[in-house]
Amino acid sequence: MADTKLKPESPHTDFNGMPCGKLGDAIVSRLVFDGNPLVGNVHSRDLKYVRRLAQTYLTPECVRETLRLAEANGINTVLGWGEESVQKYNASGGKMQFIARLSPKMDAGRLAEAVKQNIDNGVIAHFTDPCETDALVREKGIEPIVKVIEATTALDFPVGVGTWALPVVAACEREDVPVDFYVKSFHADGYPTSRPTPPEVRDEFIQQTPGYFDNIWCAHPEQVIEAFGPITKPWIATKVLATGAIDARGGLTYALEKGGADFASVAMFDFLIAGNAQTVKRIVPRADRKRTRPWRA
Amino acid sequence: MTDRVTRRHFVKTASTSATLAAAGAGRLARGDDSKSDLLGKFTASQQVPQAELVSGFSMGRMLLGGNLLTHYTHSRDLRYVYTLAARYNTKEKIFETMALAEAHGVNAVVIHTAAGVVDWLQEYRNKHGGKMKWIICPTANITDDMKAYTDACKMLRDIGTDSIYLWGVRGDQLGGVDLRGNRSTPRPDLMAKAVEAAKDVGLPAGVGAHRLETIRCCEENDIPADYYVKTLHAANYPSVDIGHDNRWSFTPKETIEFMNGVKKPWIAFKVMAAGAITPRQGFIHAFQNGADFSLAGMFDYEIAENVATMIEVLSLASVTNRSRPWIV
Repeated sequence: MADTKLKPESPHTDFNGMPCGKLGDAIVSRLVFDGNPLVGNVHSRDLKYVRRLAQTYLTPECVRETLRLAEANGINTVLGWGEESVQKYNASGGKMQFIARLSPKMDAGRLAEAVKQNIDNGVIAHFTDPCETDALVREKGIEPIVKVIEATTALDFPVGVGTWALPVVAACEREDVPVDFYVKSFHADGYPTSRPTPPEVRDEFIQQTPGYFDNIWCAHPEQVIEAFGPITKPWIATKVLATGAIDARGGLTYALEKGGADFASVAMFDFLIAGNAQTVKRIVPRADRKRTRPWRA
Repeated sequence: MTDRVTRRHFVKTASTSATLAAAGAGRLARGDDSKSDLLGKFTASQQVPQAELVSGFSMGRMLLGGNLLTHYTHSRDLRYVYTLAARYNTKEKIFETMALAEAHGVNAVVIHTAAGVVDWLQEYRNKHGGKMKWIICPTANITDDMKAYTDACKMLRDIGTDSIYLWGVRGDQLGGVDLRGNRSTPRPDLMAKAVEAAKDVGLPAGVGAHRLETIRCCEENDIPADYYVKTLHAANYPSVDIGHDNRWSFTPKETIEFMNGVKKPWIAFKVMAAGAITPRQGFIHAFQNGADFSLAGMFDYEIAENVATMIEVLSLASVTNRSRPWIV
C-alpha cells in the first residue's frame, strides 16, 4: 500500500495517521470498518424502525461518501459485509481492502470456488461467518470448522474463524486448528440494554439465551480477555461498542488496551467516522504502554 | 431537559418568532393556497377519519408526533440513532413529511417548543402553504407568577398556534409524580393557571401527562382542560424494564380503567413505546382501550402504511365495540 509508512521500533505502520497492523501480507488499520451498515444491517434491539431508517439514509451516494471518509481518516479495511459497495468504490479510485466471509456450510468444491473468486476480486483474507460457525459448532462440534480451515489453508491464503462464542475459539486452540486469525466479538458489560440479560443467565452462544433481543454479543468479556492472553494469533474484535450502546472511547479502549485485541471493528455511519478514527489514533500509544497481551499483528 | 436549557431554547425561539409574527401581521395565521408548491407534490389514496377535538377544531384521528421531527428519538442506549434521525430529517425532509402527512389526512402536529421548532413550523405554513394544525406544549417554566408561561402562550397564539397544552413533563410534576417517579405535593392551582393561560389567549387548552396521577388531579380538581394528552402503551416489549429512556406508560391497566370514566377527549401518545411496539399493535391497544386520537411519530416513508393500518384498526370489532364511548 503506497500510503503506509513503517515506524521504526513500533508494532504499527501508519496509514493516513492511523496505526496499522499486519494480517497475512496486508497492512490493516487498527480500526476496521464493520461492513454491516453497507448492506443495511443494523442492530437496534427492539426498535424496529431503526433498520429501515438506516437503509433509507444509506443511499448509494452516502455509502460511497462513507467509504471515502473512512479511507481519508485512515481506515483501510472493511470486514465481512458490503463487498459490492467496496468494489464500486474502488472502481472509482478508492483503495479500500476487504476481508470476506466464508460460509462454513459449503462443501469442499464450492468452498474452493468461493475462495478463488474472492482472491480474484482482491480480498485480503477470509473468515468463517460467525452465525453459521456458531450454529455448526453447536450442532456438530468443531470438526466441520476444522475441515473448512484446512481446505482453505491449502489454498495459501489467510483465513480466520468468526464467532460470537468463546468455546469456538477455545476449541480451535485445543485442536490446534491451523487458523490464521480470529474474529471474535468483544465488548464491556453493564449498559442499559444488557440489563435484562444478566451474565449468570447468558449462554456463550449468546443468541440462544432466553429473552435475547439483539442486545449482547459477548457473553462474558472477562473470560475472553483471559482466554486471548496467551493466544498468539491476531484477533479482530467485533461489536466493541455493543452496536452503539457504549461510547467510542470506552469501547475502543476496552478492546485495544484492556482486552488486547489487535484490531477493533466498528460499524459506522459517515458522521461517526472522524471521531472514532481520532479516538483510535489517540488511544493506541497509551495501549502500547498498558497492554498485557503483546500486539500479535 | 433542564429548566435552564428549556428557558434558553425558548427565549431563542420566542424572540425570532415574535419578530416574524410582527413582520407578517395577520397573514401568518394560515397557509396561503397560492404557495402550495410542496403540498402539490403529494397525493394519497387513503385518509384517516376526521373528528372534532373541540367544537370547530377538526383533525385526523392520527396526529403527527413531533419527536422524530425534533430528533428526540428515545432510542434507549443507542446514541447513534439520535444523530441518524437528525441527519435524515433535515428541514426540507420535515416539510415533505408534513406535506405527505397532510395529504393523508394527518393534519395536526403535536410538538414542544424545542429550539427552532416554531421557526420551521411558520416557514412550512407561510412559505409552503402548509395547513398543518399546531398543537404545541410550551416548555416554559411554570411558577407562581406564571410570567414565563403566560408569555409563551401569548407568543404561540401570535404566531398562529391552534391549541396549547400543558407539557407532559410539567403536567406530571404538578400532578405530584414526575416522569422518573419522584413524588411531590400536587399543585392543582398551577395546573389550573396553566390551562387558563392558554384559554386566556383564546385557544383550546389541554393537559399532557405520562402519569395517571396528573389526569386524576385534573379531574378531581375540575381543571378546565378541554382534552388530555396521555401516554398509553402495553408493557410487553423486551426493553420495558431497562430503566433508560424506555417506558412512558407506567400503569396502563389503571389508566384504561380511569379514562373509561373521563368525558373529555383523549389523545393517546407513545402508543408504540417509541418504536418497540408495531403500529398495528399500538393502535389497537390505544383505540380499543378508549383513546379518541393517537399520536404517531413517523418518518415520511412510514406515513402511508401507518394510515392504512389505522384505518383498518378503526374498523375492528374490538375497537368499534370498545367500552369507553367515543367522546368525539
